[in-house]
Amino acid sequence: MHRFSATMSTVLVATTLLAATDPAGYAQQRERPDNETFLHQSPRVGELIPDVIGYDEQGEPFPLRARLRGSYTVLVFGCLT
Amino acid sequence: MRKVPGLEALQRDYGPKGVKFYYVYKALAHPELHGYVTPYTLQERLAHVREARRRLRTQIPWIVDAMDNRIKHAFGDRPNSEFLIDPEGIVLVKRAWSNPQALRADLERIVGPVAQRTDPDELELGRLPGRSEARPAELPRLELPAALVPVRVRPHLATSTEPFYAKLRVEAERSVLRTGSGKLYFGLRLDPLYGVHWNNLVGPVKVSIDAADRIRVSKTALVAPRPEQDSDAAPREFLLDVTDAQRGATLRVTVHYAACHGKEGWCKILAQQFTIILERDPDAGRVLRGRARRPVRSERATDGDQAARRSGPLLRGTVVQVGSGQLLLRTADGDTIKLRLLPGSYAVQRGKRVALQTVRSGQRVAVRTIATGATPAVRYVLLLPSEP
Repeated sequence: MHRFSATMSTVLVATTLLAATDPAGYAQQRERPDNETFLHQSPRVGELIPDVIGYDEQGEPFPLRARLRGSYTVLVFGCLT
Repeated sequence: MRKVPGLEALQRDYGPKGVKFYYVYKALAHPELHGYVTPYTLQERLAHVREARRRLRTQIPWIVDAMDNRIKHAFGDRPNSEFLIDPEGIVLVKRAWSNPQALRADLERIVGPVAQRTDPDELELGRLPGRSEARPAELPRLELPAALVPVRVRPHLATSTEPFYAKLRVEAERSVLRTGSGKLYFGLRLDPLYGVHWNNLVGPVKVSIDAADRIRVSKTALVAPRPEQDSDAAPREFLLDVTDAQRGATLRVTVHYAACHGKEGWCKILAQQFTIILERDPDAGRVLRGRARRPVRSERATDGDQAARRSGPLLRGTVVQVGSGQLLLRTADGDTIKLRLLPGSYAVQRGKRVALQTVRSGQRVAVRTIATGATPAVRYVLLLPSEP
């Protein structure tokens, strides 16, 4: 358990540092005002995801924070258009 | 959803390693693309997800955003962003635009590499209908003014026992929101998920403006051209002039039409009501009608909290003076603009929110304004790196 926590901490710190010290990525994103908005309106790297409730495909409530706990998760936004 | 094959391949590789994948279904980015129109209810949004699954033949499950778009707002309001989240719910990686290749590198670093990568091209996925596959218009399309801005449309769902087979989109000329005068565009499209068509034998599609509050309209009855065919599914479009529109002005309208379902063999004559609010709708997406009508940057919808919904243009320049409740900005054109500082104004440096006191004279900045009051106000000040 300690080993897992230590690994997780390392991953988190490394990822946070990577995001904070990636000048190329920052330079690329700062050219697009939409991305500037995204950078500071979306949850920051290292922060807990927002406690919001959506729905699953059957229309049942899907509280993100509770339902995504326990696994690495990838969320990708999209629509039909 | 062009990134779907790459994402599905990642799910095949990392699903067995315990990584969960979800698409989040949000408000349409480009209504009318592929023929799809903005859903009015959660049930309709769920139907969109079923359509996406059917068309794309994907395995990744969907989370569906609520009709108030709370997930979209909470996660930064981008149409195709992606997030990698750890088992405690902490954001490890975020991108404004999904990038499956970069995401694979993230997963390899954090979860570990896989023995054999799935080739996206080998997945038997479907695709959405292309633009060229759309039905040809049976009616000539209106010549529209440039740079229309979508405004809020509220269907009166409770007043109709039938679904809203026809979806209304209203867009205003920029001048309507700025000065109160200009053109207002009404577009009515049949929702393809219901499989209905207009019944032209009954009569043309009509829109009546029943009440106008804080706005004057050039006409109160709009009648669409009547095609020669007995039935069709072409959009019905209208333009009218408005004057003296104040902020938050409303129109109450009724749409009269006859809809028929060929396979199910029914026809219904409907009168469905809407309220139109003369405010930019940040969740209405942008209709792709061609370059001539692409909104300028300052008009593109920006979502988020209430303040963001009134966002003005992004101004770039050099800070002349800051303090005493105002910021003086010199633009590249040499103009000096006075901007009000609000209690909620803030600064952003390298993607992180910092105190407004960080802003100094002589600093290069981009200022997101709020279009409210006579003097524009500062929503946030983005600190730009010094020029080399």
